[in-house]
Amino acid sequence: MEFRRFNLKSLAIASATGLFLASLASGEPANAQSKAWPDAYPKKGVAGVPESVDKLTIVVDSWGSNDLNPWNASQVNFLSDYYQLRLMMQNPNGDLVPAWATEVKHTEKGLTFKLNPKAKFADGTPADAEALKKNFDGFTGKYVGTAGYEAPLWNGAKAKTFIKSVKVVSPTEVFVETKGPKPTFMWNLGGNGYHLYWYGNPTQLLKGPKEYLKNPAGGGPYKIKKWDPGNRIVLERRDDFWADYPHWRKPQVKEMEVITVKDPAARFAMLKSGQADIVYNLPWALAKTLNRSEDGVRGVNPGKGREWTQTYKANGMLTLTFGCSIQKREAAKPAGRKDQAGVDIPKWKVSKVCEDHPTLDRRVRRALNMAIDKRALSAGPHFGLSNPIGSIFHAGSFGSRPDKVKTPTAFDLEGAKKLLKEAGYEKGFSMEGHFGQFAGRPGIPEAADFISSSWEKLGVKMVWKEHDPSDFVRGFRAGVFSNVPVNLQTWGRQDHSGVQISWYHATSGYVGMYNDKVENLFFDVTSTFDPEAMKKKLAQFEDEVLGLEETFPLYGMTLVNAYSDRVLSHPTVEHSPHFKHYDLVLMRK
Amino acid sequence: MGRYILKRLLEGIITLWLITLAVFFVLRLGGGNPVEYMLPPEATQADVIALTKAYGFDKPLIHQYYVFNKKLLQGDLGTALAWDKRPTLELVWERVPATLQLTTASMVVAVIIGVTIGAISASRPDSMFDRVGKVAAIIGQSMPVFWVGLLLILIFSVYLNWLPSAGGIERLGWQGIIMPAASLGFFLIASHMRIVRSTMIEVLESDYIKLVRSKGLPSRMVIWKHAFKNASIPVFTLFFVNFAALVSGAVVTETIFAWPGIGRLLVDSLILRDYPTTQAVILFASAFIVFINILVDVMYAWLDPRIRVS
Repeated sequence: MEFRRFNLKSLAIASATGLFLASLASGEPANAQSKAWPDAYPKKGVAGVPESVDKLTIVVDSWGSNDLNPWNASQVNFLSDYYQLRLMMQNPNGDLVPAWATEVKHTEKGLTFKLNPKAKFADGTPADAEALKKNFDGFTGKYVGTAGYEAPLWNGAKAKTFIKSVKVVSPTEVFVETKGPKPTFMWNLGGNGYHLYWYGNPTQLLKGPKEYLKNPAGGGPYKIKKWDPGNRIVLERRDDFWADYPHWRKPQVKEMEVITVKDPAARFAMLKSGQADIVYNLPWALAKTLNRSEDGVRGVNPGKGREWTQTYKANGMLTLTFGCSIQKREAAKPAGRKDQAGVDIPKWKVSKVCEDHPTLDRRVRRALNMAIDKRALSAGPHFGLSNPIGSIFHAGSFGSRPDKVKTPTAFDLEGAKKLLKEAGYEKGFSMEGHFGQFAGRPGIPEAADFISSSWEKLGVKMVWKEHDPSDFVRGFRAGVFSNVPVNLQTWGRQDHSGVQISWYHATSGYVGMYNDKVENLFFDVTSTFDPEAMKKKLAQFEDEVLGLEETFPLYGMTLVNAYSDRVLSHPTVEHSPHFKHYDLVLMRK
Repeated sequence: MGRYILKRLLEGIITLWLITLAVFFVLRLGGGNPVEYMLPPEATQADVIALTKAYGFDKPLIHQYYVFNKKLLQGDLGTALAWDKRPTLELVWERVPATLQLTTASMVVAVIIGVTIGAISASRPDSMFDRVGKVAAIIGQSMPVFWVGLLLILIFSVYLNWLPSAGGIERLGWQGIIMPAASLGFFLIASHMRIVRSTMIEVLESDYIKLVRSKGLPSRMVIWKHAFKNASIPVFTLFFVNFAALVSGAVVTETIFAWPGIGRLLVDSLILRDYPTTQAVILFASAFIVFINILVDVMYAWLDPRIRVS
């Protein structure tokens, strides 16, 4: 990937070598209560909290893929947090903190990781620099075709676009040379936020996938005792666990059992009947009846009943996107264009429905957005458990602006009617919209119904078509859903807005909403190391996208974790894409 | 008899091959490149291309089907795309015991209760017992299995705290099978009861039963020794048909009770767009149904020579 000359020049000035950790502070501080970790949380062995308890049972709807092998996994697997290694991780306050690596230096040439010399895999093998190098080799596909590895890791291609070479500097130091500057490396490969890569024991991994399953010795605080893919995993505490950070150390719970129960009512029943200690992703309608720990300290048992909850905020978001105007804009451009990285930009066509569609008029799009009372959507159909937003970036992510996130566009029905009248659509019109209902992204069909009834007041009749989520994703990658007047698009949480902007980029897998300025800003943002400069560019980027009035943020999603009274605390990141920090759960006897 | 069995086996093999053809092409023609479905939204186009090539989905469908058949003849149903890329047959075999446990327990519940109530109802047609039985049968067949399952969980797990609700026998012990078997069996009780009742009524009105009764035999002996024996052939058929169907049809029950059977494997594989595993589960379930049907046909032919001749 090549970058424009002026970017490299500015980069040279901005990217003075230094500790990258300091630049990774969250864009929006989490609330004061979650920042209180560890002070406001119970502590092991203090005030009657046991040093050790026997068992914790967690019920989830899914844990991602059913693969233990980190080199050829078919998708992301959230269980890996507990038995594999990560280079860096987030603490419950959302800050980037050491894990396998104690320090990381980031320059325009690459990254240097200093590893914890005490790190050991579950079978006692030292987790050293050589082990890290072999892992990079593994998930970039070096061993495909050997030792029984037939297919690469699902996102191995992405890793390849980042890594040029990996050099072992010393037994505890590794230099990863990147293909061009990669300021978002840590969010993709480092293990921060939405974990995409985990690191296993190469001695076992090199024996091949079949052999590895017989001895999947990772380096996390637990080892696998029983693995029933798709159904159940039993993890056993490693009493010799090498890390002793406040955020990653020998857990209190000796045996952690995670079970998948897809049906939400059945999950809730397990909590109510005392069969489970934690239930992940409780439906909002059930969650609203339980005590919220947010009324006290988020993640700490409020002691007001048999069950309690805490929420993962902004695990995803929903936006309203209008596709016709981008079609007109991009279709007018010549074919055969390439982006700055030399990747072909697809040639757009104007679909029949978009040739003369009302939403081509900016006033119509604005009116439709103004007619949606986002606060009422949250308070009503979403039981107060979604967060109305005004940003294309996730709350709490690097580069998101709190004022933007927390300020949805104002509801103004009369203003909307006036705008439609000005545009010549006083009597309204009819159109078709599309959406998919994704697991772990609640409230989308309810939002679609709410939007229909809101727009009916303008005379706009909606027919929504619900798609299988995979079909919807596939349709987006192929550009199908950008060729329709309107759709509800959901974005999974990213902890760095610099990662998220790839969805608004001409040659991304998706065909999002962009213009030439947005396209240029994409390359500007992703080639600067100065965090303040990056934030400014991200703000410019967002203003430009929102200014097009083709994308309108609706709400940030929330997932609810429910706990039995036996659980004393579960400190975890407030803004998070999935379950984290179950190893930090403290329980009564 | 030997030719008859051979003929039925050949028909079974052709049926199975047609099933592989249908499943293979329906999955692919309906969904396009499975990699597009497997990858999460965050994946790049480069990921799509790399994995498509790695799995051979860039090759023509006919070629892919040829490879599938070639492997099938060697007893290899392919390698899973998910599930740690394990052989799909291995994954299916791992789940079969749990499914058979659930299916057998459900059938035992259905047969014991259904046959008993059906026979007693038939011996006392239009009595209060019979009327209550008929209403119960309608209710049993009308109530969705998932709803019965949730109701059982609510009563026996949440309110009474008597029974655990999630996991197989391995996790919960024998107590774990009570509710799943009851919820699945509840639906089957009704069908067994209805068929036993109707065939028993027919048999009880026949001349030989009248003769037996005229000899002064006690009613219990007439019903269970003479009538039921002759009324049991359709029950026998229904038993096997239901048993075979349950092996692949217990998906809902397995989902509600987190039962680690092949039904859940099928659903999870479909969600993950793991086509080789989906194919393997369907093929296994189909083979089981075909085998049971052949077995029933052969047993019929053995019992009734007229079938062999025809």
